[in-house]
Amino acid sequence: MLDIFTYPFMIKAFFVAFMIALCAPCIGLPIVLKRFSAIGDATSHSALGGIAFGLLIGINPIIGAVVFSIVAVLSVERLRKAFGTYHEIATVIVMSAGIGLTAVLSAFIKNGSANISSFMFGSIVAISDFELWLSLILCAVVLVMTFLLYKENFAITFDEEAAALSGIPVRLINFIVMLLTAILVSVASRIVGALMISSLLVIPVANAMLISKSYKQTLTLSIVFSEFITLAGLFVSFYMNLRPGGTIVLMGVVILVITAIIKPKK
Amino acid sequence: MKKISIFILAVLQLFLVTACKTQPTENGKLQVYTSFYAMYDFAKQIGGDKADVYLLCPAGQEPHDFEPTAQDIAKLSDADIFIYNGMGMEHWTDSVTASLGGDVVKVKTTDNIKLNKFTAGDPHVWLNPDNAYIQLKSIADAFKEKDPANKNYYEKNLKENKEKIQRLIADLETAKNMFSSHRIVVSHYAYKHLCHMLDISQYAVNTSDNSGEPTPSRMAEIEDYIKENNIKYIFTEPLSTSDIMKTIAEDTGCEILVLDPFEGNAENKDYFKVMYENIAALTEALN
Repeated sequence: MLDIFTYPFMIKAFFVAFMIALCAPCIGLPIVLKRFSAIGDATSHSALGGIAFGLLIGINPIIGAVVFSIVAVLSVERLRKAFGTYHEIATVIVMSAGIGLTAVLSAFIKNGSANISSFMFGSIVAISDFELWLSLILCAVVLVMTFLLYKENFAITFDEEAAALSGIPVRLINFIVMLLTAILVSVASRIVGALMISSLLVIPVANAMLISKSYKQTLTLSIVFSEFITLAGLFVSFYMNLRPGGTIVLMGVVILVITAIIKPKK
Repeated sequence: MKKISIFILAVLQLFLVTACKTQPTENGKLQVYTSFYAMYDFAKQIGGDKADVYLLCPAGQEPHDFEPTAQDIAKLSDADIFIYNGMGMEHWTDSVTASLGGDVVKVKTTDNIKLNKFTAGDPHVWLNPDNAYIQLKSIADAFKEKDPANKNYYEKNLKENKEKIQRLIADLETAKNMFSSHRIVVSHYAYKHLCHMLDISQYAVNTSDNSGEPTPSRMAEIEDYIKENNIKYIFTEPLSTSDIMKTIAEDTGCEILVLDPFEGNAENKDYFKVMYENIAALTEALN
């Protein structure tokens, strides 16, 4: 049997996957609780457009992805207000715009870097040292912000108006969460793929919500789930010769379905 | 999704063609459209200044992933000759050639190529110069048929190319006799024809369409293969799409060289220039 940890690329893959699995639920929880779970998809598809744009004008694609993602989350926020109670339309519109941009822009890219499938599914087996450091810094920022804004996020997701009345700067904190979402999603899209990051934001949190009873417990459990499916998914994909991103996501869905079946209704 | 988009393009094309039929430039020259760079270069070699040769898949874009636009199809339907490779090299040509009218001469340049069990299934036939000549000849035949007035000109160009091809074959044989190793690691399975000719075996990171990423276990296999066979150089290609080769090189301490399958290039090199660069790269890696 192949020894998984004798390969430098696998060690890097495990390290980066561990970091991203750690911070995805931290951002995912406030997003899901705010009924905003599709934002990950909208942002990651816009990030794809940004990657294509970056390659097109010759800047680092990650910068393109970050810029496009920030524009995307700000547009979603703005559009949500315009649609009132039908606010989920906003996410779909921004996602469509992202896919449209990706399709149009990628046709203009020379030198063959326009491989959309590698953007969609990431290349966790080919992580450069730059990407390694980037994911490390990013995860540190996300974790620190989660820790600092823990009480505020808890109050806002529980009751936004009450939080505002008690003096919490709701708009500022919502903005920070959206900004972190944009940055996390865009950087992770390039590294582990758009599919994987938008799933890791939501699936572990959804799984934790099925069985936990408090905010804190949901956060802790979703990190445990997230780490489990990511690391187990990498192992399984290695020994069964499967694509890692898809394996991790499917693993999460299977565990979620099992949890939903064996758990009695609330 | 690709099929759907081709259908939509075909419908669009109907509108475009009927709405604004663009006239080919009436300068008396043959209007020749080619699917990707290798075909473009071959058509230029034969057509010289007697034909206007156009390239559909822009130089520098990966021809396996290319998708013609509605405008491309509209132009194509006004062409005299459409030259393509076939054998799955360009996934879009089957539906496009079926929808083109009878006025356009369609040249599938791999029609007369003989395959054997070593080379079957690999569309990159031109990497063996014998095949390249067969492709050049089928192009020249189409030119002569469509433009009999310049028959001698096209024949002269074909003959000149035949001489160059014979020299290239001799130089490949010389290089082959100097190889001390017979294994190459490449980014996609594009070299069955070249390898069969040079009696070497290829080990590819990606499958033959040059898209997607290897799975982690495939990566591990490749790195093991490199270490076990003591391989010092791995080959990437000009249109390579990912950092996979860089990662493998870092992990195993290999160096990266370029082996160009001549699918498309941004620097307008011709077939012979690319093939001589390939000989130089192979000689460096295998001696």
